[in-house]
Amino acid sequence: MKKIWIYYFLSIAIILSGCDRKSDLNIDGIPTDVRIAQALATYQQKLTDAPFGWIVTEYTNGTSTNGGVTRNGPKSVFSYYMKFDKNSQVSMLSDFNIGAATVFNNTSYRIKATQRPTLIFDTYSYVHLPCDPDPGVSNGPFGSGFGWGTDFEFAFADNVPAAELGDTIRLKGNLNHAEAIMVKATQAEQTMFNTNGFGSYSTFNKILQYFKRVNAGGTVFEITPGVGGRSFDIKTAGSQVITNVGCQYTATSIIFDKPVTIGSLAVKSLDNLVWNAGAGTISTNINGTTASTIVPAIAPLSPEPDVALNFYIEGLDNPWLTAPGFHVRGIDDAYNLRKLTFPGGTYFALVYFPGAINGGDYDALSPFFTGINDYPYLLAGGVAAASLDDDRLVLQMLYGGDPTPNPPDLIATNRIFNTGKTGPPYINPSPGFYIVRKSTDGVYDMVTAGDALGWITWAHQ
Amino acid sequence: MKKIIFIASILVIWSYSGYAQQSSPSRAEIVKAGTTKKLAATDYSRIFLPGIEVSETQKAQVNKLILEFLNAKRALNAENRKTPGIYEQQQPTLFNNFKAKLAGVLSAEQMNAFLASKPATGEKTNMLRSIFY
Repeated sequence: MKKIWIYYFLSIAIILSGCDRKSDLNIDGIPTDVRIAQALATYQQKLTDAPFGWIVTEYTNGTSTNGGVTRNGPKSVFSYYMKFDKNSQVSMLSDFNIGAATVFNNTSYRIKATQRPTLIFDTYSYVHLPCDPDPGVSNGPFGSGFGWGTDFEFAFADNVPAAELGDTIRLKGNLNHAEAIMVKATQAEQTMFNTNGFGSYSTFNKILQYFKRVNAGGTVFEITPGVGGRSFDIKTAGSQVITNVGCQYTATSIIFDKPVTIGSLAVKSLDNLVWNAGAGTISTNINGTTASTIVPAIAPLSPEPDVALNFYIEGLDNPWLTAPGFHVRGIDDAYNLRKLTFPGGTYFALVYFPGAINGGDYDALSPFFTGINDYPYLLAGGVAAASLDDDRLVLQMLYGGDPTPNPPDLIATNRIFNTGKTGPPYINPSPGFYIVRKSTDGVYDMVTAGDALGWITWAHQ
Repeated sequence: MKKIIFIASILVIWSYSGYAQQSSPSRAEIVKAGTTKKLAATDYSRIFLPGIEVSETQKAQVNKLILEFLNAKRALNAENRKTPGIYEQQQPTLFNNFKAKLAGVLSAEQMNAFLASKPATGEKTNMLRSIFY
């Protein structure tokens, strides 16, 4: 019995010692939760103490994750100008699109302790646009349910105490592990952002043509949009080498993520971009020094031999797909094909399937809807007759026999397919389309040969 | 006991391999399957017999004949990519066989209307070209 009491008291002593609130995590007598709160407050103070705001550049790693599924795609760079205040509000600009580049967006943020101290943009903002799982919003090429692989919750990644953070802060996205670098803006930079926003983005996109040419110290190079429009594909005259570079837009410059050798120049940036409204060109200084002009072009600088034929042949057994419709005069998916509806069906993709119709005579060129068994003789079209003219692909849309009329957005789309132009005056016969191979494998752009103001991107996925 | 563990291991591996084989089809495969399914179920009479009244019984027979013809033509076109010229060589026979079978389904009046709808050689956007050329 005595032993039982001894064990009983011993157990009570052990249990009580386990309940001791004294913590070994206290440092200098300050409990952990207090220290965390102090650190978070310091992080916030660092953000709000930048009197002229921050320039934030976010780099994705070419993957996008949602619901545990990760997809691969092109890398991208997004730039922001942000001004944080002490009331957990942040105003920002972004180079996501023309509107975001010039109109400030006010939203809220939090600094929270998760596994690491984390900056969270907690209401929908420009930061969320490239994250949006709806490709109709993000314009991302990763497919439905996936953004560009950007983040809106970022851990502070400098591995130094908050108080020791300097004028540059590194962040890492919690979901997609995108990396972001925040650099304190100068007063002059703040003035430029307040006046012109991301001026380099809006200036560069004033040239609406697909092909843009730049003379770099006597050697001309061509810029076309990379897949998804967040990078440049660069080619020089007489060469079929395509160099893809990510671009960081600033108030006045476009900075390449790696130098591109053009003739004797290593082109790292296009600086001091100025729009010449009369000429429809842009003056610039390459690498800040070499004066040059960016001019529009309506034909490729260095057409790839037989590219249209090879594109056609490659599609014979493997249909070409795209989710968004034509980019027209600066507007992505100008006719909202992603929003196309058909009773009982869900829009899946616009499909170009060469040789699919009438035993190989014609091509299917039609929206594809899952949930209904009516393709490609859906609506009053969806069938195209293709021919080649001087290595351009010429299409004629045919009446497929279905009495259901096409919706207006499809009529507008088919008009571009028919005419090879985005608007009148039309040319007869149609000049068709330039087919342009992109730096991403298995991806081609189809560009209106009549004006180069419209294009659509085809891939097998 | 060893046998039980062995059998359990086999079952686990088998179930995982079965799961792996059920990977979802690519988007292009979904589209191809949809096209094939649709082409097999299309009412070709509305495309290739425009303005010719056909009964429901005739429609089913005509659609079957046209589908067979187009499938044979697809195979011939594929062959022609490997052996250029073979299409021109074999197309007349293919068409004549089709015409003979169609004549067994349509009345003489319907058949004459069909033959009269033959497009001109250069009429590349007329869908009927796929039957006659």
